[in-house]
Amino acid sequence: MNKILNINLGGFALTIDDDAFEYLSSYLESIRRRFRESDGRDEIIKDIETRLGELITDNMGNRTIVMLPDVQAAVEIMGKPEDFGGEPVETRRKQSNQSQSSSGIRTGKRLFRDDEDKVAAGVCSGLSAYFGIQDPVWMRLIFVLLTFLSAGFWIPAYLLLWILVPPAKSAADRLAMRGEPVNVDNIAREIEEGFDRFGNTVSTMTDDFKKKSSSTGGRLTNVLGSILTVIGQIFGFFIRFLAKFGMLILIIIGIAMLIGLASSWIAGLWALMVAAPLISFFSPFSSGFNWFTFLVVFLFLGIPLVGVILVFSKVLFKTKPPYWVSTSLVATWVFSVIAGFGLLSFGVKGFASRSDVDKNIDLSGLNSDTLRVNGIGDGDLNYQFDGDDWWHDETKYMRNGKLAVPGEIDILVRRSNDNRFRIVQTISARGSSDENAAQNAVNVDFDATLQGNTLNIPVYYSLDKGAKWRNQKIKLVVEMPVGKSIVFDEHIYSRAKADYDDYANNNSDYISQSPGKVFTMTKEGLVCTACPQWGDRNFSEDHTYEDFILDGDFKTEIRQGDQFEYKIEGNDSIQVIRTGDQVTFTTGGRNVSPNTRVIIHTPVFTKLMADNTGEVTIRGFDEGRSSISARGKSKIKGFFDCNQLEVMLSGPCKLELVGSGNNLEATLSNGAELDALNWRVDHVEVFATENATARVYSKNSYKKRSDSSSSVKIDGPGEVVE
Amino acid sequence: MCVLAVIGEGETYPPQIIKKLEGTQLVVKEGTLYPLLIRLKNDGLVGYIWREGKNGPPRKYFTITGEGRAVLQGLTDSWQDLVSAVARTLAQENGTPYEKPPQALNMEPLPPSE
Repeated sequence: MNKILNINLGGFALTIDDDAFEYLSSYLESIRRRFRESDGRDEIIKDIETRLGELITDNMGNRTIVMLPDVQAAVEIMGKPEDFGGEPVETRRKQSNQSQSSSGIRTGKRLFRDDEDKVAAGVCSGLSAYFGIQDPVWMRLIFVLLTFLSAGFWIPAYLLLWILVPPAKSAADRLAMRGEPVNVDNIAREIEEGFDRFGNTVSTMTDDFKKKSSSTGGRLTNVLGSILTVIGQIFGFFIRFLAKFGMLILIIIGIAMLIGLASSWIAGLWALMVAAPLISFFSPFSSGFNWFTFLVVFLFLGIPLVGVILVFSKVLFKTKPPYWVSTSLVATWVFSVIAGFGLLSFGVKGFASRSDVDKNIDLSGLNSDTLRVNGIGDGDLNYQFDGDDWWHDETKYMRNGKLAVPGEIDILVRRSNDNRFRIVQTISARGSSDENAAQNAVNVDFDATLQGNTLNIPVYYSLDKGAKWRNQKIKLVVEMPVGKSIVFDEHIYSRAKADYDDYANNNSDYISQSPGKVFTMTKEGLVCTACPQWGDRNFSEDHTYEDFILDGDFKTEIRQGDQFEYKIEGNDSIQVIRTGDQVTFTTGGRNVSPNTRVIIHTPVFTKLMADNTGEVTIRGFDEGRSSISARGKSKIKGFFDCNQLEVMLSGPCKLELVGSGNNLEATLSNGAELDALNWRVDHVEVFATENATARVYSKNSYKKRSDSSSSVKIDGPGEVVE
Repeated sequence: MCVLAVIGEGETYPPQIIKKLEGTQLVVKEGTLYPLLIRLKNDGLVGYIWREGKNGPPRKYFTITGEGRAVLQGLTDSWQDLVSAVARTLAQENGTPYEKPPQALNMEPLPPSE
């Protein structure tokens, strides 16, 4: 059975069979190509069409439908393009033509299977023809090699091609199959020629434009015309480049597609192997149906993938998958969707009820005020799925046939009402019924044991073979009496926490952020007794701090920045306490090495209190009102501007100021030294006692008060007011 | 040249040209004719007129133009010069005296005015 079409061939109305039509159109296409460069192309073709129509009609007799032999006979009379003498066509093609077989008609390339030259299904010989390889033996060799190299992937690839690629049935098919060899050059040339035609049109248009513009005498427009031509040429070149490049890309896409198919196949097989032992834990069924679950998922995800590949190959290689293939693919997919929904609802049922199983952990052996809690098991399992390792190292998750589930343990610390440590362990689980849920909870293999004064908690729980994963979770509630302490090690701390209310006021350290720190229960609540602030060495925050306290002998630099951040250089630790808009950096009375340095960036600087600290530099601010106070041996240098600056120095400290402002108010005592000659201000007030020295500059006015032991020197045109 | 000659005989439909040429053992495919005819037409050597076909669209019948006739005459002359030159050369080689061959193509005289 064949379709028929009605066509108008050079004025002859013909009813033509599909095969014959394909043959005829490829023949006409080849003629069109043959005369591409002839002058009267359209006319030649029209004449040939008319004559063909006449020949066919004459030949038909009483029959109504034009069949392939009729067209072939007419073509026989008319001759194939190669038989045409006359104008030479492109020499290029002739050169590459050494071995063009009798097929002659070059048509749109289509991939077919060659039924007449086959070992299995003619896929290889079809591909050979498609790629213009003379002997299909090479293609077969490649396939056999690939089959070995890809661990069998190419067998289903071959089957897929078998299904997708139609056999060359008719003569037209065979011609299309043999068509011009497909390679980057040929395809690019095709496109290039197309764009050449386009380019010609453009240049004709610009020529017309030029003529018009020169007739109107506009020289400017003439120039414009040449510019247009140049642009057109550049554009043409660009397009040609793109065309070549684009075809290359298309071919690369084709190859990538095959590789993608290969890898998804391999990935699928591999997932099947790796996931197989895991399925039973998650599947809603007790046994054999697990494979069914896997199959459904496999089909659900795999079929759209195959569909995408079909579409691609249709676009790229003009393959037409047989009707039954697409139909059965769709049907299978619909089936997998329905089955998936069924499984899903069945699976959801398995999570319908919830049960909790409680148990007290025996702490009778504890003989200390401090309970250490250690996480045991792989550190990697501590908190989250480790993306890469998850599949690679199945032993991590499967131990002796058991499934290890990490990260489902939570620890809550709260205050105890009596004077004993107490830990209650609650395992919750889901199940199809309350009993089933309780059973699922009991199935969890989890043992927290006390060893000396250390409680060892596994960071994962395991499920025996046959047990089901039903969202089991473990919660440990630790009750802590006042006066006792607890430490969570680095493997488990992130799972532990306390309610906010259970922390002491002003506390800013949390158990879940402090590995290895001692937390003590006080009457006010939990406090960390030896906690540096979190983010020990590098820290930044959106919150604005403008009040800085420096305590201890270290160097500090305070700079203008977009955001509050600080960095501590050197090996010694400096404690940082942030409260309100105040930050304190302190050595806590300990000695630190001289290379210890704190660098602070802050958008605002309003207050500095330096207590017996090392060299402090302040840079780059432009403030309305600020104050600097210093005690002890502090040394401060300020390079900034401030309208109202208040300075209070006491002890053998020194402040050097460079900048400007309106008012400077300084109170100095106890050997303090202020050097503000380069601090240009309108009004100065200095109050100096006990061996203090001050040198200041005043533009308008100043006030000074000092005792006999102190010296105040005022520079500038300012006058005394008082 | 042969094609031009055939057309020179009168209004011609391309298949007729083929038939005539078949008679002279100059076998060509029809497809060859069309580009040739169109080129001749574009060079102004032939023209065509439409005639009603048997049972289809009108057919193109080709006719020769004055210019075409002049060219044909020129071609015929040079062809005969060539033929006689070749024949004479061959005759000398074979040692037989050269005889003027009968006119191979009998051309009609040019129309008096055009």
